[in-house]
Amino acid sequence: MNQKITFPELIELLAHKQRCSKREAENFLRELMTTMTDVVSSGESLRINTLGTFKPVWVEDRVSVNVQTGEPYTIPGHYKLTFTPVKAVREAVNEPFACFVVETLPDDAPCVVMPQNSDEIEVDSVDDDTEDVVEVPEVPATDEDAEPTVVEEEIPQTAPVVVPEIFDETELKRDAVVEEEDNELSEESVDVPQLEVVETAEVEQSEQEVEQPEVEQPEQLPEQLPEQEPEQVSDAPIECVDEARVEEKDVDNFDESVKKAYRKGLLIGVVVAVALVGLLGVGVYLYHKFAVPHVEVPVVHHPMVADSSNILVDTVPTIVVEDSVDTVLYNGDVDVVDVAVAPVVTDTVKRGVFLTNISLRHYGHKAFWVYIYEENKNIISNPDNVAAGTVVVIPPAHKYGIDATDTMAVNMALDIADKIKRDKAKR
Amino acid sequence: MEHKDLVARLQHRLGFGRDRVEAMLEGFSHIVTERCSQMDTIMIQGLGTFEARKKMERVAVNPTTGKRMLIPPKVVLVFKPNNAIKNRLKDKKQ
Repeated sequence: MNQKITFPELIELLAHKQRCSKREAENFLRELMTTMTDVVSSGESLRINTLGTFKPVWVEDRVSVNVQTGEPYTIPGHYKLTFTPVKAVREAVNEPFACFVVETLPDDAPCVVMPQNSDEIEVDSVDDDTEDVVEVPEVPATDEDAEPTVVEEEIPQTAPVVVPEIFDETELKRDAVVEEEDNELSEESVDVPQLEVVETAEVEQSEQEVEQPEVEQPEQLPEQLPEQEPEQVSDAPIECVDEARVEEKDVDNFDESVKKAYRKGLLIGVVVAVALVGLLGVGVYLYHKFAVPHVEVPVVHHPMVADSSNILVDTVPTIVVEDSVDTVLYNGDVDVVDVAVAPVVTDTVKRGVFLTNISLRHYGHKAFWVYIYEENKNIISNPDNVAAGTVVVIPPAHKYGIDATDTMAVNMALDIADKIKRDKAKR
Repeated sequence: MEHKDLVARLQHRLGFGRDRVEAMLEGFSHIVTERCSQMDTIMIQGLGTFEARKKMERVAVNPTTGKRMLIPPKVVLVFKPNNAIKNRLKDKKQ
């Protein structure tokens, strides 16, 4: 490997190979080399059937630059010796890489794998760049959570939707749920029972912590709830039990002692799982009950989301919006059935951010700033110059019939804007 | 110069039989191939160097079809003539 073989060594090798004396080998090689040198340097091509072809090729003049002085000069045309090995030799040398083949790349071969929910991420990042956004960054996360709701079969995954406002916990919970599933599925591994028990216990804890604030609130709500939700709830435990049964059958094949341990663990696991899924189901049920009255609200800040299921989930997280906690206007008290029931969306005016920017972000059109102004007249004296740090209340879109896609609404907003300007000019 | 011319000339110069020269030549080629496959370098005074070089994979474009192709990495046998040969060739005019 990486040895340098000199002429004497070559003689030895050849003598050994051909079973002839070194003298013969040396004579042959010397003669070969002189002949080759003569032929090649005379500008003639030389072909050796078992090795390859030596051939001088003409290199055309080309312009280059003197690296020292930077002056351009031409490299005169000249001959250059090339060596082309024959196929057998080429393949023998390339043997370690012989498995590779030339591959044609598709025209639009992507260089980077795009993230799945790219549009949401875009929204996120853009907002982060321009103006420290308060509520929008949370939307992607909730949307993720919301997706499972659409797919009704995946009950364990819908579960996290229950309490999207408590993010870390839901996240945790979902992970735990997934892990739990995994554990349930892999019956062969011996440590299943303990793992399951521990994890599910943890899960239940966090679950209950999470659940408690939710559960009492929605009870006072009017009974407006989508038909699918109760089905989900009832489906969940049954599925889980089925799984458990299957597991138990499989476990029967193992020997008695192991089986006992399994049984115990499984039983606890299954009971906990059933309880958990039940709780989650109830949570989903109640949550949707709770969330239904606010359907319209979230359209305000995320007009791209048209899916009602997404919107449902959007409402809650947007409540938690401000870095400075005092400024949050959380009107989540459920007994107020008015518009105030909807969580009040607020935004903080930053340097270089105008009402139009905020409007654009929340309603998808900058003309609607007038409504933000209207809503905050008491704190905004001059709509053209809002002090940085002012917390403005973003009215829900339906309150003023805000719709960025509707030219009528936009025109109306523009009219109001004119009026405001005129009023201001008068003053 | 073709292979048989070379063989003929060596036959003449060495006084060997044709088969013998062929066998020796094949032996030489075989040694070069074998050693270079092991990433060795064969340096021959007055002629040059045979060595194996690794080439990285690269993307090439077929100029007629415009298709891009991924050329796999490979090891190639290269021959570097020594300076004397290079210079004599360089001085040759077309």
